[in-house]
Amino acid sequence: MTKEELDAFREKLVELTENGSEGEVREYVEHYYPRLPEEERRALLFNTLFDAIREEHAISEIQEKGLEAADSLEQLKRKIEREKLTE
Amino acid sequence: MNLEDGLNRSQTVRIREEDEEASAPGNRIPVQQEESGEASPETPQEVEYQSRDEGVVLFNPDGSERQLVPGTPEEDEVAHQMLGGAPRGPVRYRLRMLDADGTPASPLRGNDQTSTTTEPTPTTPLASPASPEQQNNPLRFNRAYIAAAADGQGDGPSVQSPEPPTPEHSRDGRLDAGRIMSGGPRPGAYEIRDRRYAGIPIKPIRDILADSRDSQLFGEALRAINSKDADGALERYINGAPTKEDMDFMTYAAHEYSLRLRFAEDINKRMTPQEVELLARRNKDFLNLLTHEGDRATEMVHQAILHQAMEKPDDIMKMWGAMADMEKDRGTLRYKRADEDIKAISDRLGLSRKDLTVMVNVSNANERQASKDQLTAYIHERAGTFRRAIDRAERITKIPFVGSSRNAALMAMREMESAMPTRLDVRDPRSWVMNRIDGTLQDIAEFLQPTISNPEMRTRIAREVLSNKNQKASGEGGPHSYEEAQKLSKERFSPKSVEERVRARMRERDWPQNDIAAQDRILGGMAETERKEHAGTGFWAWVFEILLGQNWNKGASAALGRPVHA
Repeated sequence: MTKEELDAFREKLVELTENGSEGEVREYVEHYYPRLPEEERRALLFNTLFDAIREEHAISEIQEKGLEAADSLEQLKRKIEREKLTE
Repeated sequence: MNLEDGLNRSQTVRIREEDEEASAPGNRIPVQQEESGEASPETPQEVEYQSRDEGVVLFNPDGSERQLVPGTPEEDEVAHQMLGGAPRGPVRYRLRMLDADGTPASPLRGNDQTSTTTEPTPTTPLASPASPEQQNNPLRFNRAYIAAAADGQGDGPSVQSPEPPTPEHSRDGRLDAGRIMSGGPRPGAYEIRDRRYAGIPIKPIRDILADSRDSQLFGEALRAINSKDADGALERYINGAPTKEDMDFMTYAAHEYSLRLRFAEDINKRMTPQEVELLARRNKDFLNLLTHEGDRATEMVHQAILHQAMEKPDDIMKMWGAMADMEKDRGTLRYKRADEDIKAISDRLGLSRKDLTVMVNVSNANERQASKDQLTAYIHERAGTFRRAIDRAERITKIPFVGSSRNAALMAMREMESAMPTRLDVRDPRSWVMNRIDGTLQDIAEFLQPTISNPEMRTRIAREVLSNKNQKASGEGGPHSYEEAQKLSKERFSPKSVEERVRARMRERDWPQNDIAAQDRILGGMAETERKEHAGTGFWAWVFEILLGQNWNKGASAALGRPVHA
């Protein structure tokens, strides 16, 4: 990709961000990704890695909370069962 | 690249060694399509990836790794999936990561999650394989520091220099450097029944190894204590097969580590930005550090102290004593009075305390003359009509006039010298205190100089500090969604808005009207500051960075009427 092409890519990317939709921006970046200079591709990969890390963290947090909730319910169930047995 | 530094240091350090875990039963990665050729389209196979210093790394099913080759269809596919796209082929690429405590982030990964929650008894070596401690193996991170350490640091427990204790520091209940200096363990024995450890909370090895900073420093301490077999002992310990000597060594190392850390942290509490500035005036390496790193300099000095405490505990103990002495001197009535006098002079001249002490240096004849000229020029620039007239008369007649700028500068310098004498005068008690403080600062600068001046250490420490910053910023900096990026581009960073800011800057008095290079420098600085304010990570932060560059150029070009590439 020449410097002029890179400028045009950036210009279009700005235009899409301002007036397009999220899907259009992602599609556009993805379409031109193979042609981007290596440095730019590397920067993009590293940045998207952070998104993936954040997503993983969010998922694991939700799962952890789910397990905690299940654990509490389990304890509650046992407590009720014990109470029933003693009655 | 800061982002890479941040990622490499903060995100991958702990996850780097996870391949051991991946090869454990129950954690195996499904076979990759290209190699097996057996995957069905209904169940896409998973290949994990990680970022490394050298780029993105993919994990083969057999546990080996391979680099993601730029420009290949595979890289396109990885990027496609990272951008949120569905797999276009039979392989699904997913991030391999660990939580802060070293356990896999996703509970769905692997079937032996519960094993990591089993707490070993205090006397039992840590479980293996794939314990969090293994992934935080401290000896993996500290080669550079150890290489930079001076010879003769290791081999056996450190025997401290036999300097007398300083009981005055122990009376107030604070740390007592004297205990450290006087009571080293017997050579050849890892003795922990030592009064040096009294009152020091000992950090459990499990906690040390679970924290990346602690594990790194611990590794340095291990090597400083026993450079011959630190690696072997730790490896045996982590693998659950330590010898009795290994256990003694690790226990002793944990005690030493806790002690050294405590002293280093105590010094760091006292090492304020003001102290770093004072050190910079006495030592060129510190001045370099402050000039290059700015606000980060203090944090870097703190890091340097931590590393030095692990490698050269004797030096750090001396430094601790020096800082305690300095604090005591600064608490004296003489120092407080001197401080008030200097403040009065700086108020009178309209100079900040920092600028005054930078401008006035009376340490030798040359500096004294230069300081006088500089201060005279400063006073003259701000003088009223009357003083300017006296200055003119003095210049023409070559006769010194009372009330001239030169006279005012001389008076101020004399007052400063009297308030804070730089030369020791046996008849002047104030000079004793000042001289002691000066000497102490010089000592502190010399203690830290080897670490600060070593370029490799500097780079590593800077990365650590940056990594901390990036970790803090990763949750908050930059836009994280399309909406946020769009809002920023339409409001604060629209070309119109940038144009207004540039025009406002152009209206300021110091705008270089005819110097295009200077204009570009100023605009570059403005753009960089705004970029840093909104720097972040993630796809939208990347898009925003491009957007900011484009709009800045447009706005600045419109304001200046010429093309600008800020």
